[in-house]
Amino acid sequence: MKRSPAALALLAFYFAGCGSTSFYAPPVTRDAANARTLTAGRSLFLNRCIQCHALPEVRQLSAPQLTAIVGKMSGRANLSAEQHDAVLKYLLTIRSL
Amino acid sequence: MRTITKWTLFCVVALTALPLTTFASSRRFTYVYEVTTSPPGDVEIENWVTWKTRKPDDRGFDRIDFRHELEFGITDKFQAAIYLADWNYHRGNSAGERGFTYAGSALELIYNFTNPVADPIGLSVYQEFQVGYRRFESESKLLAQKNFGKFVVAYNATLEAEWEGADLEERQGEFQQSLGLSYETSPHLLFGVECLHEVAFPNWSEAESGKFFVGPNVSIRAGKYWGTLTALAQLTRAGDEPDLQLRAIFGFSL
Repeated sequence: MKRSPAALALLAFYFAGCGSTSFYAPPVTRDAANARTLTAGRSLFLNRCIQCHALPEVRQLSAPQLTAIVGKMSGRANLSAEQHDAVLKYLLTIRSL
Repeated sequence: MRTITKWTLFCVVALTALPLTTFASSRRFTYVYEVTTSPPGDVEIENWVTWKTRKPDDRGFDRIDFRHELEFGITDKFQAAIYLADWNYHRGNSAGERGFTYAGSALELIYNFTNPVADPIGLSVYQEFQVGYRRFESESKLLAQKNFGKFVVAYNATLEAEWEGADLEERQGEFQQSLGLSYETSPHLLFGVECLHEVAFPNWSEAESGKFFVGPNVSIRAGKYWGTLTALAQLTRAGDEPDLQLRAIFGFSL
C-alpha cells in the first residue's frame, strides 16, 4: 500500500501531538489565572463595584451571566482590558470552588 | 402659592444642572461622604444644589447654594477634586442684600485606608481648602463606613475652621457629625436617611448649643446618570438655622 507524503506527515504530527505533555496538560501561559491575577481581581471587585451598588452573590450567577455582567460593568468601573480579565477570572474561579 | 414658586425654582435649577453633569462614583448621600474613591484616571463632574429656607428668626429667609465640582481619581486609594465655584442666591433679613454671591473655590483630597466590605470598618480621611474673597476655610473629616449587603452605614466627623475679613481677623470653627443609612432596593433605586449635628465655635471660644437635622434621601441611577436628593428638617429650634434644607447632587463621568 502506498501512502502519500502528506498523509504520512499528518500521521506523524498526530502522534507527536498525542505524545506530548502539551496535549494532555497544556502549559500555563501568561494569560492564565494565577494568584497575582486573582488577588488583583478580588481587590478590583471589592473597590470598584461597591462605588455604585452592593456586591452580587457570585455563586448564584452562572458563568455566562458573570461574563456578561463584567463585560457590561467594566466600562462604568473604568476597568482596563487587563483589569476586566482579572475580575472575570477571580469571579469564575470563586464561583467554581 | 409662594411655596409652590420656591419648589418650582428649586426643580428648575436642579434640572438645569442635569445636562451639565456626567457619571461619577454614585453617591448614596448628599450630606454624608462615603469612604470609597474614584477609580484612577476617572474624571467626573458633580453639580450640587442646596436650598435652605425659613429660619425661626427670619421667616422670609431663602438661600440656594450651587457647587460645581470636578473630581479626579488619582490612584485606587486617592482622589482629588476641585470646586470650580461655590456661589449662592440669598434673600431675607438675615441674608443681607438680596442677590448672588461668589463664596469661593476649593481643593478637596480624599485618601482611603480600609475597605467597607472586606475590613471590619472602612476608613478614609478628607481635607478641603477653600479660598474666597477675604475668606479662607479648612475642612477636615474622618470618614467611616460599613456595608452590610444592601445596607450601607456611613459616619463623618468634621472639623471646620474659617477665617474672614480684610486681614482674616474674624475666625470661627465648627464641629459637625453626620450619619447616614441607605438601602439599595435595586441597583437603580436607593432610599435612606441622613442626620446632621453641628456645634459652632464663634471666635474659637465657647461652643454654641448644638443644632440637629434629620431627613430622608433617595438616590437614582439610570445608565450613566445618577442623582441623589436629601431633605433635612431642623429638630432643634436654633433661630439662625433653616427649618428645612434640600440638597440635590447630580453626576456622571467625562
